[in-house]
Amino acid sequence: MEKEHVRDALQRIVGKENVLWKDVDLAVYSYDAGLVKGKAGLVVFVDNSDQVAQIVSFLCKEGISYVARGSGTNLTGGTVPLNEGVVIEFSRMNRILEIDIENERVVVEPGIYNLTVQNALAEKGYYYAPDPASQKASSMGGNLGENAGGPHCLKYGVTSNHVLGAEVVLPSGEKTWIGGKALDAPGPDLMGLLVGSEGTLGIVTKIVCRIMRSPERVLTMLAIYSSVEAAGQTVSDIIAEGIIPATLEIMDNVVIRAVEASVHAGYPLDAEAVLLIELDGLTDGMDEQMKRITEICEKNGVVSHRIAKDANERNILWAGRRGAFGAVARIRPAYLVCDGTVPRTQLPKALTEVKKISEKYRVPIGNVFHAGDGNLHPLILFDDRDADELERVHKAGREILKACADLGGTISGEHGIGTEKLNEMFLVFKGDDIRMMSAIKQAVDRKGLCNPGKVIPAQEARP
Amino acid sequence: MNEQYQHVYEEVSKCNRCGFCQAHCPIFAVTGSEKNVARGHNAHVRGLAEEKMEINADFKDALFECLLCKACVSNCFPAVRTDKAVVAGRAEYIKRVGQPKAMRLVFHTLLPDQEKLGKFVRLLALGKNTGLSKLARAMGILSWFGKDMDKAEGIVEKIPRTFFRQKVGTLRLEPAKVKTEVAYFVGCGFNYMLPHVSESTVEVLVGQGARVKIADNCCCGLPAYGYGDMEAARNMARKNIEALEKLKTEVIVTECGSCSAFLKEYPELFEDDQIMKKRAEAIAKKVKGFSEFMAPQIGALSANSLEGKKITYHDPCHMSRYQGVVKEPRDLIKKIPGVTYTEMPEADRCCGGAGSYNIMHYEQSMKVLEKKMENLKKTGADILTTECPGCVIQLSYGVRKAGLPIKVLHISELIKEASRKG
Ligand SMILES: Cc1cc2nc3c(=O)[nH]c(=O)nc-3n(C[C@H](O)[C@H](O)[C@H](O)COP(=O)(O)OP(=O)(O)OC[C@H]3O[C@@H](n4cnc5c(N)ncnc54)[C@H](O)[C@@H]3O)c2cc1C
Repeated sequence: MEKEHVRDALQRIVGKENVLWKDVDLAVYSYDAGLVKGKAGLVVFVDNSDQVAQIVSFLCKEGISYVARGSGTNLTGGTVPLNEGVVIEFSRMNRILEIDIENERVVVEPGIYNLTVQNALAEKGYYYAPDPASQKASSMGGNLGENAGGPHCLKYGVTSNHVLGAEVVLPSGEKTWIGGKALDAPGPDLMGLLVGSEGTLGIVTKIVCRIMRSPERVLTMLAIYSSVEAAGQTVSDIIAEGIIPATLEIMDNVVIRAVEASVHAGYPLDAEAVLLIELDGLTDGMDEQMKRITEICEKNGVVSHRIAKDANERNILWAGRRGAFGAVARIRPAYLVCDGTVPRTQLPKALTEVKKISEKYRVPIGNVFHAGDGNLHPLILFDDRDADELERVHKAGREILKACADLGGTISGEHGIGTEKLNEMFLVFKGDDIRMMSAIKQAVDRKGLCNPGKVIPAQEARP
Repeated sequence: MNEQYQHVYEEVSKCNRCGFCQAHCPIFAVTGSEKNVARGHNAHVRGLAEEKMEINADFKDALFECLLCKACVSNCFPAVRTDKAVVAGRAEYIKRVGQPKAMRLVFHTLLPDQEKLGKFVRLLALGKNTGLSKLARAMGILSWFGKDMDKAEGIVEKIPRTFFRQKVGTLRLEPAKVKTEVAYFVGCGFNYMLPHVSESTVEVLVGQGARVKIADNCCCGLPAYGYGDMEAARNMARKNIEALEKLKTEVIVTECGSCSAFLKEYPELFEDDQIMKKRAEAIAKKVKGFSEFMAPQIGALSANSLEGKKITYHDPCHMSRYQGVVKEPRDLIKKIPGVTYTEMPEADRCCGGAGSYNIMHYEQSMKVLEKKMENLKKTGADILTTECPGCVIQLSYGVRKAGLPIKVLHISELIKEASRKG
């Protein structure tokens, strides 16, 4: 395949200036926020679904693989092009097409940032529930691709619970709609299949989401603990009480220190853990609920606690949480985040395992997690320029995921599989289920050109 | 390992590619291209440092389209100094790929020499005012203004008839009662383009009891540094350090945000020359921006013609992110009785002026400026003020182009009006 030929064809579809082909420009599409690197053949900026359909048709005809890219903030190599494939870049296809307040729906293009949508909705007194910590820079298309979650998903569910329809360009190049503004489509849940498929079953060009009225009131509490276990126990006790707060987030001392060095969120440096509890909803009864929560915190030996006085204070507390991943770069230049999830009651055991693994492989690990969901994010800190350390990091990461699986959990809460966790798929899927995934992929993407090599491991690779 | 990048290698290695910089880069907001955002710059410079990539002409856009506004740096969790990485890349670029002759002439011949630069600007003025700019362009010198000179002509307001330095003889530099003594560092932007601002600054300083000694400085060197021409930047820094040492004042004031920021960074230019570094440090310590110097000590102000006006402030990148001077200009404005201060959304977002960026990358600069104008409109302000000549020129152009009834003033002009007696 002549690269010039492909380039010219793509340029005819999107315009000359919207195709990148020089090595220098392609080099920065060889990575995402994960650790693996690849090599892009070409990069094409798209503006509308017709262009996407034409591009996919052309690539399908030519037998060239491709990958859709939102903001490239995914942590598992989902957008890293393999086989010098074409990167279909959505950064400029980022409009809000409709805010339909009466039906409580928003229709957006995939390239728009989650936060941009949130801000537009907030002006009208509405919001979109999934709030990944990366919301200011991650795209709605990428959120859909990874089935993104966030702190507030404890109460409201993840992306798949909020995406109702999408315009999709199938691997054949055909443009179609799945779902729509209505709440539930009959038949097999194709929308459910698409969300979280990491761009392997088609490319989304419009997204219909459910939106909700902004809560009447929000109360955010920061609780400080002298042990992670006590914070964890508080979480279990709160839920056992029948209270489902909007968020229950824990950070340990390693993360607290890193965060304070960059964001100054006001977490005490000597705390072993902080727990962020947020209640939202109707004003009535909220104070009583917070009082009950405070009692539970006290029963678990909370060192101190305080409630954010206003939106500004609340934002500062959250800035710390949102900055947690980035902030650890203050300690070591790189991190690997293991997004394992365990049943909530297994959290203490999982944390003990993480600690052991940290010692075994001599790598520092910081913990920040959606405690309510049992979704851990052990951040293994290292320097990616040290080959020996890198090796230990990968081993530690694999062992953590195995520990989660052994505790009855799974290998990804929200960050997806990409290429980085392909092998770990076998920890949680036994055989037939992977065969079924492959069969679906095969049926939808017969030539295997749509983000190949991601999510579904080859059967032969089974250890 | 490429030695050129030693000083920034640790920095770029700290980038963990989270990509959050995408939400803050004014250029990325326009292009959506990874090569324009900090994560991309860090990857490029890391590749160059590790010799996995080799510099060539294709790097031009990626390296030179950055505004050096530092919005990425101040929003980056590990605060990776992408600005320095980009400058390091540019430095290698001009060494290895080359630098246009005219650019070299500007940095090595014109900018270090007030008189030559003055003559050149005169020539330009001649061209502009009489339609002879073709002549000037033919001299090849106009590459200073890049290929988009035609479009950019609207940006450079009419060049004044008299430069500030030519007026110094007629100015009052001695207050009735001398409270203090300051050196005034004359920024090129003011001297050649906006001399009335310099006059305001001197008037306010003298009004506050400061004896003003006009420094015999040349360009601070920032344009050369920003372009990656370290040799030229150092040369100008050396000249200025000498000129400022001669004045022996405790304080050095300039109302140019870029000059004050860069003067404060002089020591970093001399990492390999400890003696120069010490001298640079001594100078850097004395430097104060206009509002930084004025805010803590200014006396009573009166509204005068500003009565009832709504005023907003634009943070120049070099004031806010390079120097952390954010509170002082606002304090100053709030000290004027009878006016309302209103904060502009994203007040510290770069206006796209960025030195000569608006002239070299016209289209992108205009899109960045449009965003600024949208935010400005939201304030309902009558007066927009700021503390940098590049911003004044860019914002004035934006306001005029958008047809907004808003006056753009440098903060020293504003304070001059408010210190006028009766
Ligand atoms: C600091 C940090 C914090 C994070 N916090 C969270 C968090 O709290 N919760 C969470 O869930 N994730 C989090 N993430 C991970 C990441 O931000 C999410 O996975 C996000 O959803 C990715 O969005 P993106 O736009 O960057 O997508 P990309 O990385 O560009 O793409 C992700 C996947 O979606 C596919 N895709 C993109 N666009 C389309 C499209 N139009 N059609 C079909 N497929 C498409 C891609 O092919 C790829 O497989 C975090 C990441 C970082 C760096």
